[in-house]
Amino acid sequence: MNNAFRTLLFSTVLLSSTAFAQSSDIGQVDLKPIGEAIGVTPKVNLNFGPAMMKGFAESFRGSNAELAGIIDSISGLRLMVFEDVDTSGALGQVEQTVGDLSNAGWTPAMEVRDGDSHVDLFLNESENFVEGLVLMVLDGDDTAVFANIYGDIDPVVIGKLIGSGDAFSGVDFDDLASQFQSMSGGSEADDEG
Amino acid sequence: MHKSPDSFERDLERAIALENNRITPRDPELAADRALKHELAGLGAAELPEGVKARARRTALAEQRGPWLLGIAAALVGAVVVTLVLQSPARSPSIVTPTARDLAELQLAFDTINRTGKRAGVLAGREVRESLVIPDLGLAELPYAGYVRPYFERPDRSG
Repeated sequence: MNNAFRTLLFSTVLLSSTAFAQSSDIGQVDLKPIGEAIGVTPKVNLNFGPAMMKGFAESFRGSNAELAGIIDSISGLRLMVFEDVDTSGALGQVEQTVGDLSNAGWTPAMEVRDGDSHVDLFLNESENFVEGLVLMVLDGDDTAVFANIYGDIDPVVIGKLIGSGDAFSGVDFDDLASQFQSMSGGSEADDEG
Repeated sequence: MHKSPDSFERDLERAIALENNRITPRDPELAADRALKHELAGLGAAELPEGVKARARRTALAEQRGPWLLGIAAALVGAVVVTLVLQSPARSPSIVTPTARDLAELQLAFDTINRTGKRAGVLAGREVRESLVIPDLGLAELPYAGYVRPYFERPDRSG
């Protein structure tokens, strides 16, 4: 009976860990330690999870199916922007994250070390999709941007999103925002508060 | 107290003879015991009927496997339950209805990532240019070198 109990325990732990590994998003990276290393609240701190991204996609479905498809392929987005603060404390944590991502098999797509300026762009790619993107930029010693996008994203969208600026060409966000505002009525008044 | 060597050898010889059944004990009860033992030793083991033998074998195996099967079954059930609990929220995330402010934040996120990507591209391009050794193409010897050189020195040669 002792052996049976051991078997039960071992099997449960093994299968549960497998299940847990499958349930997490492979391209999601915890950027919180980097923010904590800087020690101040980011100027911009956005964190959209799967439910919100689905919500965005559904919101655009009627007016712009292509944009809805692109946003639907993104499971989550995390962005932290630090400006006019001492960001030098993040350097060690950034290097730690670079090491962790490299060890985990992520592809270093871009790496620049130029004095105070550090750029790291890592991609986690499957056969057909980019499953995760991590962008870490330390620009001088007072500006830093950290971003993580994950999901099953078309590499073409990534190429357009990073650099070329036309990932959403033809999409007028202001127009969509006003459409959305009229759809959702006056509920935004609550959000502004 | 000490036996003579002859007496010792005689006793040993008698013990060996008894052991090997070369002689019969004089004591009738001992002789009867020996005879019964001899008879029993000569009998073969009784054969069980095939049905009984198979049933006994099955019972023994089931008793051995019982705890193992129970443990494995319980482990599988536990793992399935844990899998379902962990995976169900990830598979079907509930949809949140975004507000206009959320939309503006999404736009800000994409704009920021795009702008940062461009900045990273500029930094990378500068590093690459500084690292490259531009070969001497002998442009100075061309008749219109002054017109041609600026074209090759431009980062963007599309137009």
